[in-house]
Amino acid sequence: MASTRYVEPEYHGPALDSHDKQYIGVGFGLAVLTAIEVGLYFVEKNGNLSGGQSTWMLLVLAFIKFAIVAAFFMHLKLDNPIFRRLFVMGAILAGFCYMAVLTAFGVFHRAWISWPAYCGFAIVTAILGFRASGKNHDHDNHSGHDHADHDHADHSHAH
Amino acid sequence: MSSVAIDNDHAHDNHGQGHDTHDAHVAHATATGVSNEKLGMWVFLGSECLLFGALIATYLNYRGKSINGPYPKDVYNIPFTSASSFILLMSSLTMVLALSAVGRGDGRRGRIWLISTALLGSIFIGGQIYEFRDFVQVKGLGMSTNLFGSSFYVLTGFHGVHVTLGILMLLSLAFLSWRGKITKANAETVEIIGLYWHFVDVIWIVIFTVVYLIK
Repeated sequence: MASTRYVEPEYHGPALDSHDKQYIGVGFGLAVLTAIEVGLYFVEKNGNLSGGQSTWMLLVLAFIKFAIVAAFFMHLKLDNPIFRRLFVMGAILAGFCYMAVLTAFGVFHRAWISWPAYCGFAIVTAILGFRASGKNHDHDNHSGHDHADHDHADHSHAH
Repeated sequence: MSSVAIDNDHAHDNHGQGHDTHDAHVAHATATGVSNEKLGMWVFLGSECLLFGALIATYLNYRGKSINGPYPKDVYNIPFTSASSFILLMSSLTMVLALSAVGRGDGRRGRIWLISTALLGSIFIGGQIYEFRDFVQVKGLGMSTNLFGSSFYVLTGFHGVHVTLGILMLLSLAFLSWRGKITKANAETVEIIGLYWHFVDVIWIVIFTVVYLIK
């Protein structure tokens, strides 16, 4: 009869062991994106780019950097989908809330700018939210199957 | 997450241990199936999104409405702030490497990365103090000089306070690790502090673009 041996509980966060090189690559990518941002600022300052063009480019670059840090460094890509759901839905809610506030205060004073911006933001966030919830659902289902298989394997071993 | 797990290899040797394994797993599960501490941190970060969203919206609302100077173009030193931003961004990399090392059970390397992260954060804060001093003493932009000054100092000052708190937490973690209280088993503590640190980094990504780069 085998003796019961207690072991230290394992860390149940995302798998980290083999990701150091990936993290360094992501850090390098972020540094390059920051350099591009600063470069765009000076290109616009020298008059080689219009203010509107550089604004959109800078916002897109900031969004990409934000998403990269959240996905890789905050592990939203690997971790339990409930965290991604919380963060994405919270960010969408905050975005709509403050766009409404800024519109009320007249920051987006020209309707031909504000309404396309609203519609574009709504479409992009709806697509992202739909994709996130779809992936989560798939992930949950797969996880459920995995757990069921694992439990089944455990029981077959135990009995 | 403090829990006691039973070695599965031994558990499979007989019927009783198999049931013990199953029972132990169920006894330590949370209602959501995820760590309550980590879920709490994510909820806190969600509330922080709203706080910083309000401060950024206030800055945007007051943008260009100052009656008297100095104006943003008169005070900003973009190369200097770009270097500060780069340093804060790289501190996120050292933070994730610290978590990776602690997760592997390499406490010494984990401590080195944690202290490196705190050091990079301190350089960022030093840069912010230098920038504020320059704005106030040399360029004449005080907190109550104009709308730009008020909204700028409140937004970046709040962020600076968050970074400072993060540095204190990182140094506490390094101290606890040195005392042998941060091990592979409770690497989640490092992960939770890391989430906070990455959050102040992503907020700075937005502030740097919206406040400094977009004219």
